[in-house]
Amino acid sequence: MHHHGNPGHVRPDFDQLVGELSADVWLLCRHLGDQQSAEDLTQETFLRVYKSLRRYRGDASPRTWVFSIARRVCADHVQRAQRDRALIKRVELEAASPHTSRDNTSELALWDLVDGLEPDRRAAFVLTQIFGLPYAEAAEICACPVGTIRSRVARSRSDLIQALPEHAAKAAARRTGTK
Amino acid sequence: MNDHEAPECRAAREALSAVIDHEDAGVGMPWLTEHLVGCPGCRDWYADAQEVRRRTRLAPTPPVPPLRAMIQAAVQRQPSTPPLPARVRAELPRVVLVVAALLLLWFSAPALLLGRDPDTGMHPAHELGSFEVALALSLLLCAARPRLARTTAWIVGVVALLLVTTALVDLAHPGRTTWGDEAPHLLWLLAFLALITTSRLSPSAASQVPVSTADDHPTPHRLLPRAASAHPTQAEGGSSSATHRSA
Repeated sequence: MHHHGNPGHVRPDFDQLVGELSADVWLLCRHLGDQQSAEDLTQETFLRVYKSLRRYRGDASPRTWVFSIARRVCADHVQRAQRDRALIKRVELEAASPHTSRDNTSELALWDLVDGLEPDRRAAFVLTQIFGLPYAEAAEICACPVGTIRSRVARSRSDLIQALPEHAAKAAARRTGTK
Repeated sequence: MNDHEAPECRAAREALSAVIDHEDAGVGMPWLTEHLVGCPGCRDWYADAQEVRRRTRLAPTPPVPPLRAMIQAAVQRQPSTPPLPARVRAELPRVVLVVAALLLLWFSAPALLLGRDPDTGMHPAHELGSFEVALALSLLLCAARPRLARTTAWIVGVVALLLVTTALVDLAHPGRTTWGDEAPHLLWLLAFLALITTSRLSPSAASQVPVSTADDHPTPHRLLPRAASAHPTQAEGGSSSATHRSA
């Protein structure tokens, strides 16, 4: 029946997927979508998983498969939100609203910086650094070559380094030291 | 933000980033080492990148809300056989319309172009072909501009009704015609149904957006209705998670 997939794979049980992956999917959605919509995006992801479970052929691991669905759900959400914001801006009903409300506690400051990354870089960074996935698996989830993940992770790191509060002070010290 | 990096620094940092993650650096290690020895900027970057990694690992994970019951409830609200995706549902009538129009063109083109019709002479065949080709082209137009579907449906509906009725009458009398000759008339019936469905799915048909002025005055006020009609499936079928939750 499964001509192209992994012939030995066992179709995962939906409840088991929910139990094992829902917290991770929620965290992923929190970073790739936005904080306020993370629960809705998680629910949407699992509805899509439920509907397409019959088509799962075992080409990728269940986690890779579910994460790639979550990434697409978040990308759709972000695109829709951007379009809505653009529309609102164009008809001048409302000034552009901030992307998300930022949590000001210092503990979560790093997450704020991560959430401020450009979306493709953010996905690569979150998958490899927060979830610790190998580049190859992140590439599969993002539907791009491994080299692109390598590049995006490095760009994310550069962006984060530059956004770190002490970076500005360090750079200034370096400048005055060299003069 | 970091577009001003020299190309070799960019390559070195990409490789260093991969090294931090125990991944393939993509460049030779001798080159990387040599670059690091001569580039204090990249050495600093490497130290900072490791600091970012350390902080990422230490950053607390936010508390996860209860998800299981919410997901299971949402799944239980799903119909047992999942419906066609909203986009497919929205586009299907237009696809049927195009297919019906192309088949009708195929059947009527010989009469128009060659004057060839089994039941009549060359000139009546030309006339018959002209009418059929014109109507088939109007179906294609409706597929491209769904807001025209409602009006066209009336005309095509009458054509379909008369053609099917007369075909049934003539089929009841042996020798007048055959099932094979009359079967293509069913395409008009199909086109009529596709037009009705298309007009129902087209929001601009219902809201009566003035057609003639729409493209003449690009004022900001018309951005809203135009943008809304550009993505009809989002407005209707977009499976917004909010709707799942409130259902």
